[in-house]
Amino acid sequence: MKKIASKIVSGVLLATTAFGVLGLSACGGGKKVDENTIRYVVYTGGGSLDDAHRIYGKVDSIVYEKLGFHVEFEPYGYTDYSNKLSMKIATGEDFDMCFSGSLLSGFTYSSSAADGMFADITSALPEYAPNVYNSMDKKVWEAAKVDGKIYGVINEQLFARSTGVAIDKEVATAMGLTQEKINQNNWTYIDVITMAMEHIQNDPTISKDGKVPSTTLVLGNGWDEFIMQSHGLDALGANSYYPGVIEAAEGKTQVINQFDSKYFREFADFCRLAHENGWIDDTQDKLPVTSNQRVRVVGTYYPYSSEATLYNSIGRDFVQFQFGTPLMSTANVTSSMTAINVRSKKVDKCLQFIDLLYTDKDLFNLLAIGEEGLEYTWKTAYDDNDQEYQYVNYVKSSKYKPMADWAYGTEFNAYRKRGYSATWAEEVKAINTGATYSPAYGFAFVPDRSLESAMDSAYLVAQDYIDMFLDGSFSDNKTNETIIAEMNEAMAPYVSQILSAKQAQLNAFLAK
Amino acid sequence: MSELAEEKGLEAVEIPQNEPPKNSRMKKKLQKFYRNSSYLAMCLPIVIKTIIFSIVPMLWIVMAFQDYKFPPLFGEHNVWVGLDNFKYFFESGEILQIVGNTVGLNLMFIFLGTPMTAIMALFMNEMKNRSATKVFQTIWFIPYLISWSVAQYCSWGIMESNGLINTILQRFGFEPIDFYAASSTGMWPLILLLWNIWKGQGYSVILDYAALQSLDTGILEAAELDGANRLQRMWYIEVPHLRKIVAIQLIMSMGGIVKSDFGMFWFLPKFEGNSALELKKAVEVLDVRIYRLVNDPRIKTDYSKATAIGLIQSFVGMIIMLVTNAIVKKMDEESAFI
Amino acid sequence: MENVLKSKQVKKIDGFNIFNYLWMILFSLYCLLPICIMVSASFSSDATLAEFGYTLFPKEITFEAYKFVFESGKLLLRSYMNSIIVTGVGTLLNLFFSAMIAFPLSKYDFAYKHWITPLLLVTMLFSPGLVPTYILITQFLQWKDTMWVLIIPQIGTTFNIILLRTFFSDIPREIGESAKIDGCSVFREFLTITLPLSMPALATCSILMALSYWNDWGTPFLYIDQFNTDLYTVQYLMAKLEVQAKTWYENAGLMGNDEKNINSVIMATCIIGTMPIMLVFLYFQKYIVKGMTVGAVKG
Repeated sequence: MKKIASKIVSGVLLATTAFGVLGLSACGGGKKVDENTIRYVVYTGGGSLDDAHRIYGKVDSIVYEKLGFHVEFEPYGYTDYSNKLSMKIATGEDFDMCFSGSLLSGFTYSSSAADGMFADITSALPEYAPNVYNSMDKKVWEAAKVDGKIYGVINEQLFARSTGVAIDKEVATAMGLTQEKINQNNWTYIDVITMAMEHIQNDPTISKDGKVPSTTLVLGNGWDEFIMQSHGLDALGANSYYPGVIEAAEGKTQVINQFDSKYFREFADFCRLAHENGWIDDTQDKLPVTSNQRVRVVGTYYPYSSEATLYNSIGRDFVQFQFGTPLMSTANVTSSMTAINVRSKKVDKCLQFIDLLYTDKDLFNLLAIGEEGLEYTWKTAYDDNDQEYQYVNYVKSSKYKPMADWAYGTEFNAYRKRGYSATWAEEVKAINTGATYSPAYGFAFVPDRSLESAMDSAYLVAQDYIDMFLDGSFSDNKTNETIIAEMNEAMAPYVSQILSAKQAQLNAFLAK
Repeated sequence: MSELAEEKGLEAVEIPQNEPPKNSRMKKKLQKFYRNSSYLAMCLPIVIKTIIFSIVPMLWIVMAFQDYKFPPLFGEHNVWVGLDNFKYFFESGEILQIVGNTVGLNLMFIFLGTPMTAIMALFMNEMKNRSATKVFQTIWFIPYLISWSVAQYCSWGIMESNGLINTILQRFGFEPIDFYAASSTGMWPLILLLWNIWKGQGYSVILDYAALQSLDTGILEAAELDGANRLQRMWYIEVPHLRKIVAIQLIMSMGGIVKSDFGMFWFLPKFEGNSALELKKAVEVLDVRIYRLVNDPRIKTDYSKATAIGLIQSFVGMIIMLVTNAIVKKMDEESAFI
Repeated sequence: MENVLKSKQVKKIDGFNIFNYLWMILFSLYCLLPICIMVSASFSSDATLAEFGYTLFPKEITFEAYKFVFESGKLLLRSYMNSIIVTGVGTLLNLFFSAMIAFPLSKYDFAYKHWITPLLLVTMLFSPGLVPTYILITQFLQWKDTMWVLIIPQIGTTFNIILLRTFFSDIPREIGESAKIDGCSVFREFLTITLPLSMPALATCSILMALSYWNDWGTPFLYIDQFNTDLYTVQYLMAKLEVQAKTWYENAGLMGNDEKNINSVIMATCIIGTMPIMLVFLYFQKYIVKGMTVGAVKG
């Protein structure tokens, strides 16, 4: 009696389960997107995007008019983007193209491409996006190659990176600081920051009793940018929180542990110096765009760009100084890319759209800035040579603020901004072409699966200690030497295997 | 007796013969099905929902044994890796410390919390003024209603540099304490305990108190007449009565010993923005580590590993729960849960 | 005899009861303290907070923060509405369906309950994980950016079903049987007899359900687009509050040098966000203890 009843019930359950399992694991379902529409998962700088759909609608109608198909946008802000994209890919959600790049670290282009998540566009790229493809040197595209194939479109920008420090124009003028002087004296960024901060400390108009106001000095976005870049280190396409870099600027190919090197000690000493002198407020928030700023390590030296950003947020003029030699590395070139989903059947349309964004300057600016009158207005200013020029003035109350020109195509397409020279694009391109190439250029380290636990563990150790130095929460009783020794001890179980794996892959690459 | 024999006899004869008896059995079963049909119909919505949302997707647990990348689940790109994902868990750094934190802090919560809850409930039960107890109950329940995402802001108000404690300390001329700095690491188990008590103690006390309410007052009065004093009454009548619910609470919380309230461990020490390393090491629990591994934008999100760790948690929890249950059963047959 | 008892009781009131009151009051203060600080901070101005720090009672009462939240945070009202709808509809549906399955499970003559109970228990111990659930919801049900995703997945939690089942099985069997003899269908028995007799358990369950709906911030985080402000719930907003408050300030042109300025606004939003669930609780409170007894004793 009980048995048959159970059989019926379990039969029903089994049938439902089997049906569901078949459906779920095959996962052919999903939203039926119109054949004539491409779905673009797009990165946006955040803020509230209330007006985004107006802009996206406009972009869509222009694309439809010119290319005959529709574009559907799916924007995610910077806190969400990489998580949402991982989720989308893991669950096979439909989309055709997405922003990708080593900028969104964990989701690096190279490892995702190696995992087979993006479509191979080696042959389609020159065919459907000839303008983008030809605009860059063949050598640039080498960086995008994984196993000899291209899986994403590079967004052209400043590739060759060095460290930049922005200093308040008044302070810099009072100090008589110029780029020539820095180069002549071979000052490092630490020397210059120290000088500038001491100058500010003694300036009664800024400091009270030799104490600088909080957040006068701000350390950009993280340690990696200014240590790695000012010394020309190359983390081999991976994140610099993982141990294992080469001294690329000096042409060396020996993989070393950066956390047990003079570079990290220099970084640690600098952090301690800054905190002990009270230059950095111990309790400062992580988003310190405050008007107290006088000295800011901007990370990458980018002509005019940092000055414009700082003027926008603080309202004061800054001068930017460059440290270290610009370096072309795989990670730098692939930092901003647009990739196409391997499941997409509209590779051609995606590439055509990317090409259109490259050729149609107005379309690009519509997407990257917004509409005239609503998001920006034209203003007139005079450059250093007293030449009149028009620049884009952002409307502060506008709610469409993607602030990510670099994510939508080439930044060189953007309208001229305040303080930018007319030949800005050429200047930046000149930096790129004149830069030193890393010996590991074109190589990206893709860790073996068995190495992942070591990589992640080492990463978390590095992150914890670097944050500690940046925030100044180290204990005063311990010297930097002890702390770094501690850190290396915590990392020791993982370092050697990571270094040897990196070295082995690099050697294999160099042998080719 | 005879009926039973008849039935047995029938069955014995039935097996070789084919059609008719089977039909009648079938009929009976159909009858039973029909008799229960309205009950079954009432179960149907939740059963279907459970199958769709919880049972069918359970198949995806196999991705703990894969290097899962994207659907379809059994596609070639999702390589089978055996126990690699579990190995990852045991190989990753500081795993002993993290598991130790999780278990240690949970044990502290359980073994300090459970007796304290019982004592508080016993004392509350002595309160003869019912309206007063009601007021107290209301107040104690309130923290239970507040989620950690809100409670974290309360905690700032108390422990920040300009929070209540430091304001008071400064007023009396003491050095302020930076609760979020590495130097106060030693304080954190206590701080977590206090916040844990704040959030859940009231709720547990009301639970125990409610159980005491169901005690027959006649027994208590009889005991009083026999000259039992308050302590004796508590010890000999009320405590045994509470035993069952305390045992259930214990078994349930032992089952969750490798899990923890993520919100509390993430928000209170300000895990995201805090850079005090020693402190983070002292309060990092498994759920926080899983969150960091899955959500850190710099680490490649790996759902296979997250599934594997979740599976370990579920299994360990189930085993500990069963063991606790067995121990309780040995000590006191009635109090056991399963 | 009675006199003896009374005099004994009177004697006992003295020492022990004072002690009893004392610790209870102390514990109540402990429970209220953080909330007090939050309330006080929400009524303070940013300047006072910066100067004097957090205090138990506001130095001077201003409604600035509340005014600010209500004026510039239309989003708050919107998410409030959403939360109320989700909590209300969700709790009702959840309660109804949970009770509906708990009812047969509590019946001694329901032949299949040994098949259904384990099914429910399995879901309590093992969860399938994020990826399949996400696939199910976004691709098969297409519930992304809808209210359904906030309501349906939470329906039929095992714990609540067991609680209700325990309560139902306490109702004397004879009541149901006599109803059956009177020609009452099973479903009608459930609606007209069982449910009205189980108010305390239903109240307890409903507050637990309402609580989990109201405090759910994980689900919207996954399934509600961050730009889809029409579907924000209060908890989702709260999780994004620090960022959001900054945006409000920026839009209102109030962003000052000191980032800590937004604290009183955060506190005010928190108070506003927590209030409804407290009111619901207060309303049902008299049933809850009674309902919890059953759930507690019989698991």
